[in-house]
Amino acid sequence: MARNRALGAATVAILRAVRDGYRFGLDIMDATGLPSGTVYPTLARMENRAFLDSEWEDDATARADGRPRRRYYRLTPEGARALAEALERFGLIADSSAAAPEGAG
Amino acid sequence: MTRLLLRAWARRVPPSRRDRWLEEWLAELDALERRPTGRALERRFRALRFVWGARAHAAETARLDRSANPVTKRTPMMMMMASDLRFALRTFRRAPAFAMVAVLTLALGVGASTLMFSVLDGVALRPLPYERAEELVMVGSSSQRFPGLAPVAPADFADWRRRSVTFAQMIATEWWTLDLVDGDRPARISSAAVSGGFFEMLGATPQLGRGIDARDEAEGAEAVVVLSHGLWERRYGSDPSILGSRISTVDQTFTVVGVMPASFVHPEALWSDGVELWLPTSQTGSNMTTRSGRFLQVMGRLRPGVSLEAAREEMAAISASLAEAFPASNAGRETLIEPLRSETIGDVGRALGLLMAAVGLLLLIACVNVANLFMARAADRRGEIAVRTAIGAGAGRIRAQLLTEGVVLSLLGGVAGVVLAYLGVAAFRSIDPVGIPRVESVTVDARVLTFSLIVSVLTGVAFALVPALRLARPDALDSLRAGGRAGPDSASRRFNSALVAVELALAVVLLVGAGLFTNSFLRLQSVDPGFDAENAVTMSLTLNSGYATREERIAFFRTLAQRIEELPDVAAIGYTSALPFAGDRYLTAISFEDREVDPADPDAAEYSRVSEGYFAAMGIEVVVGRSLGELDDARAEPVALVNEAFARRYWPGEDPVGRKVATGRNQPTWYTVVGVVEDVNREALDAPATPELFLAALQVGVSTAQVVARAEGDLDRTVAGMREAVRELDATLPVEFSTMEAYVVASLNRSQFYTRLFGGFALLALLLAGVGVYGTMSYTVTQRTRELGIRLVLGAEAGQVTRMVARQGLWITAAGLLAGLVGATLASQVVESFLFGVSVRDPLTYAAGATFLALVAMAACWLPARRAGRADPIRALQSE
Repeated sequence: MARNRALGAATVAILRAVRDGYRFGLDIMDATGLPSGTVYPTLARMENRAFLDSEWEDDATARADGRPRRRYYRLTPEGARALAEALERFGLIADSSAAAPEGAG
Repeated sequence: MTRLLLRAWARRVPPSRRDRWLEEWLAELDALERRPTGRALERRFRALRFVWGARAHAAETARLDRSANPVTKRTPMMMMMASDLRFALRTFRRAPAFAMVAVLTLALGVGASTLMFSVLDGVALRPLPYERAEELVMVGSSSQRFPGLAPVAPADFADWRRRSVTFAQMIATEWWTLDLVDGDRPARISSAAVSGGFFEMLGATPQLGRGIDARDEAEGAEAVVVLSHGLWERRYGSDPSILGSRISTVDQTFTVVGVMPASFVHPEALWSDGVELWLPTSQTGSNMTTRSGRFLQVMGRLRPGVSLEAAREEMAAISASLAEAFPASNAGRETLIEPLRSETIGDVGRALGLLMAAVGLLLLIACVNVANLFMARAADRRGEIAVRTAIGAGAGRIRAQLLTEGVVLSLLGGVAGVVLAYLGVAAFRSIDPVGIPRVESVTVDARVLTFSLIVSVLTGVAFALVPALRLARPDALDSLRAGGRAGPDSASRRFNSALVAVELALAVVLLVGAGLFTNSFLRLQSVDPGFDAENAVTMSLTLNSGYATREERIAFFRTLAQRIEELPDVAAIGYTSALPFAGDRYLTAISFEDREVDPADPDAAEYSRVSEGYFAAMGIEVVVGRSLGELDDARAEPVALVNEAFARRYWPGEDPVGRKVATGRNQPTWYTVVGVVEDVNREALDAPATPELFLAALQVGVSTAQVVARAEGDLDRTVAGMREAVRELDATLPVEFSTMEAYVVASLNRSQFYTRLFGGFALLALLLAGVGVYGTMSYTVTQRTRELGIRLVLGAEAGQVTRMVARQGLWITAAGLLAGLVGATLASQVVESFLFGVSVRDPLTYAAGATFLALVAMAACWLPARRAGRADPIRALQSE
């Protein structure tokens, strides 16, 4: 299954977006240009592989803004290592731009 | 809208994660909606597209949860099936009536088809019980006069055997009887004279000793016999030292050289019936070098790989050369070769195929019924199914559960059905229907049980599949969850109605079939055979070589007749050489003084030799002239009687009395006709009388006779008296008793068998159709409870509601009846040759079948309809 495969391009893009500080799902979508049907399952998968972990926004903050609390993702040390390896493989180390590496819309 | 979708998809997320999953998505959606860009429509579309991804997320979350959590890890197939099984059994315990009706219905279907399959398998499908039976063939000599596999002359057989190369082996047999006089009571044993290598060719090994081989055929060889297992057991007490001992008839002594095992069956394609003893052809005294006397049946085994065509070609060539060499006896003769298998089974295979089809219909009806019950049940279970779906059961899981229930039901039904089939097979073997070969090989064995298992499982899948597919559809659940407010959708109602109509149609087909058979049977039974079968005891006996001259034979029977006449209960007594219905028929060529012989259509008549008391004892009336008398003996002028058919055919419109008729063509003996007797069916009730000639036994003598005694008192006492009369005259003569009634009943056996069989099927079909209509109508009424309640509240009369519901049922019934009548018209063609005196289109039978079914269907409609009319409107409305 996907579990033991090398990281795919979309996954790398998402991990990179998280590394670059896009921590909220909607923001990650914007940063990568990937559709929600790709982004969210990948986030779930990465969290399951412990490349990402997540935390819930402070209740008070959310209430102050009058909205539900959000879930923020961040890279774990393993995730960072895996991302570095993958980027090396893709030959994209120098490129730190957040542009979509593939033309998905 | 978008939030609704989210909530729907949240159901797919494992419960432990569901709240947080939903919370995350609500937050994301909220964030999206806060973005000010775009027009309202655009924003809405964007949100929808965004939320669409939540579906994949939910599925992924569920998948990760399954693989992460070892406890709720994807349940292995076996465990899932086990839990389905437990659940199914629990379900049935909760609804025992449903389960019982379903199991019973299936038991009838599976039982009937298992029984029928075991018969079909035993009779027609299973290979004959001989080694490489497919190589075995019957070989016959065919002529224009006797087409088909007619008997073969010994000299022809010898030439065939010597000259053919396509045959590995070839043997000849002749039906024989031995009157054994060893032991306490003389007995007539049905035997077969066989040429050497008979058992070897069939691949049968004797249980004790040896078979009959080539050395037994040599001139001057010792007379030997091989016993059947049954005879060895019955007459010789299974004596293990039987080999080498002697058994004897009045004029021959045989040495027992072998005993066959119980499993050996004498080939049924041979005429020899119930053979219990085998002897070499050299011991019958028959002329084994004749080319003009034809009395042998020939069987052969083709060499491996030789086709039937190749053997036919070779035998055609041999026949042609024999015809050239011996034109007097062999001109125009052909040699026919047919597989032993088709000669054994004949067209019974076709009849059984027909019955199997009838049973298939029955099984189909049972399936339709249970499917209907299943659907009706599902209406009660919609709550349960909804709950199961709500707590995460997928459509596939629910389908699997329903299918498991179906298979469990059908297996239970299958077990009960197999028990029924066991009983049925026992009954079938005890009836021993005439004309059905290989009855002894009909058993419920592993093959048959495998068949039942397959049928049961397929049945279960078949009837559970439709409900499973329909109920497990998400929209079906929605409509179920709606509490049936709208009632069953019209598609489902139409589907149900169609099922019931089909089942009614099938029942009509079977009912009409049963009606035709019953009609035919009744007509057959009411045929007057021309004699009085009641209280007529028959005794058959054959004089042995101790009665060498005609005078001795005439004297014996004259004395015997006098002794029997003196018995206190005997009102009349006579004897004949060929008793009607007993299977004795002799045809003779006849000629007349004033008529040339037409070689294309030679004059012929059935012929028998009868005593002077015969017509009185049989209750056959003399319509013209006189009967035979004591004085019509060897010293008097030879006389004869004819039947009405004879007089009509040969002397139409003339007085036969005083006319002369001769038997034999080359040296004719002339007989003066003294009287005409009424026609008698000779062979069966459905076989019309043919011209018959009766000669005087006191003039021409008989050696084999059936004595007929009309008893006025106790039949058993008459039988004992007759037996004693024979014993006093000659203690070595075996006798066999029966009655004319028994012969007539035996001739009805086939017709009766089919009538009972179809009657049984039709009754079952009727029962099943009734249950089917009732089940469907009940289901409809249950489903429409609310609607009907509203109608009642709004002031509809109870009668109106009842009529409205009943009308629906009546439409179904009408459609089913119509389809069934059309189907019956088509299907009845197949049974045409089985019927007597009734057309396959007999309108009365069709009308009766349809009316009968209509009555049952109307009753089955009326009960639920009346319940609908009596419904309490308040409760009906609350029933949601």
